[in-house]
Amino acid sequence: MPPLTENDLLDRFELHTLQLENQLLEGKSFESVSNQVPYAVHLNSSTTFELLQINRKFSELLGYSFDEIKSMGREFYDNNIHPESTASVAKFLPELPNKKFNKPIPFIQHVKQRNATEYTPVFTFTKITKLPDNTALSLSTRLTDFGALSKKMEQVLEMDRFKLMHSKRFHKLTGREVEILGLLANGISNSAIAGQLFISKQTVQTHRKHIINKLEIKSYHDLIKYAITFDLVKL
Amino acid sequence: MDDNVSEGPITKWIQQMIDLQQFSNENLYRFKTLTKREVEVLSLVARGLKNQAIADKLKVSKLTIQNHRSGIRQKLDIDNQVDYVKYALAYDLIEF
Repeated sequence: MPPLTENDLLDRFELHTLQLENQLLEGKSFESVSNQVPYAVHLNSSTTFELLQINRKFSELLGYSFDEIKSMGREFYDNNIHPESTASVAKFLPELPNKKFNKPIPFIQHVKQRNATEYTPVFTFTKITKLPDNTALSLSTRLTDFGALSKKMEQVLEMDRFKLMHSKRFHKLTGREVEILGLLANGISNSAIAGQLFISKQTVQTHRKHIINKLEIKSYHDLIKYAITFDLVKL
Repeated sequence: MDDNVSEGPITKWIQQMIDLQQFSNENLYRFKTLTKREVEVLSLVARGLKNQAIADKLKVSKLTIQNHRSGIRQKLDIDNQVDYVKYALAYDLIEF
């Protein structure tokens, strides 16, 4: 499959940002939703920049707890965010609430981790949310992490594509055949399946033949792919 | 793109991605105990090759492959084909 383009990745990031905002608007707690995504997440005021909430990853990324950052106040920004990064955000962030189309904005920030001497580039997506007081939501990840994640995105996307291309065949299976497909993928033998479902081994073999024909399976590996993409086994 | 992001496929998609990444982080200590050759065998098994085909490809005996496989099974604590695929996906050894 062709590798994901930069635009594909930006689209994903944008989706994650919007999805997180929706969950927050639905009243879910920041704590519960922000720790489910593989990014450093923070909420801050778009006017005063005051930090309102951070997730675990954010704490790990910078090496400071929320309370430490709180007590440092303005000093935190001065010491840990490259002044030019802060300046560029300060320029566009307060203007965003007035814009009609409020899309997440991608940019690169340079942050200093606790006790570090060098800055680390961090990729961030920021959006003014519909939460009170024009709160800004930001998702960040180190560029190196972004790379590892993009590979996982490709893998999952490819599974999705497999599912799309093979769903017609899959839906030809009867309920019983689906059941047996799942058992086979889990490495259960014909006779064990027969015992488990209270049918004869011969019947299992017949089901098996039908599955192979309907799905046009050429190898056990193909069977595994079906089982994974149609949620018959837990990956 | 409008602001109404549909739940469902996307949520699941993100979840799968995160799960894979987490699995890869959590089992790295196991994966790192594999020899280079075992990693090679793991990726071929995950692609669905049979022992004989792997032996031919690596120009070794079938028995050697069986030994590698039992080494992999023990080190990774896995017992079926799905697990092989999962490891191979988690460490980017195969494309789905």
